[in-house]
Amino acid sequence: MSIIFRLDRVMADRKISLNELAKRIDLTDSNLSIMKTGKARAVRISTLDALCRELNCQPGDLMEYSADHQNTADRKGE
Amino acid sequence: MKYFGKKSLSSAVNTILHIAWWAVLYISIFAAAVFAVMLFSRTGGNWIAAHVAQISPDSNWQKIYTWPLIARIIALPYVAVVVILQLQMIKKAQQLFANFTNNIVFNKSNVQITSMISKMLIAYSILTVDFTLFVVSIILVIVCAIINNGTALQEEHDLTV
Repeated sequence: MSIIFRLDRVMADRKISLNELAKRIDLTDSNLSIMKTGKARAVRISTLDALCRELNCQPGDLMEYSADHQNTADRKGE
Repeated sequence: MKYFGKKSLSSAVNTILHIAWWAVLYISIFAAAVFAVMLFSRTGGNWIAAHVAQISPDSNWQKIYTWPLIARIIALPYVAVVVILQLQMIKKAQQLFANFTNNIVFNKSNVQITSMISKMLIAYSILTVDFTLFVVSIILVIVCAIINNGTALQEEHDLTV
């Protein structure tokens, strides 16, 4: 996957814990952890909306595209 | 009616299959011993055939001893393979229903179990020359593909936040 989640960085900037954020956006800790560790396959618009609202950021702050990351992932898959 | 989970249709089938496995095992051991005696012992075969004739007069089991030697030699391993296949299929089906009882439906292990059962059922239907079972085994292959697709969808769902 060439999309990298930057949720951990934004959370560190806002000084908010995973549990606290999960409570605020009404999501389970495990689901937020899946997103934080980059294991998520898909993100609901409603989740993105809640995250942006609570973290006061743009969707682009939470994720970014990296072609290098894709190449590394492909090589690991070989 | 509940299909999955505790106290459901799956748990009932799981219990029935558990009992069936032991029943098939004991009956098969007994039947194989009787069959072996009838195949290779004239006196033992006659004794068993006489008792079988009392229960079922039309039975032609007495003729087994008159089979050619090669047929009698092949018969025993054939029966053994059929019985082993039966036991394995019941065991695997029990594992599948145990997973259903634990609410594990779309899972990779279920795909493997279903695939294994379908392959064994194909072999069994060919060995016993049973066309109906062959059709059932083909349907099971398709069910296996459906569970596989379902597993992929389940994984997708679990990883959607």
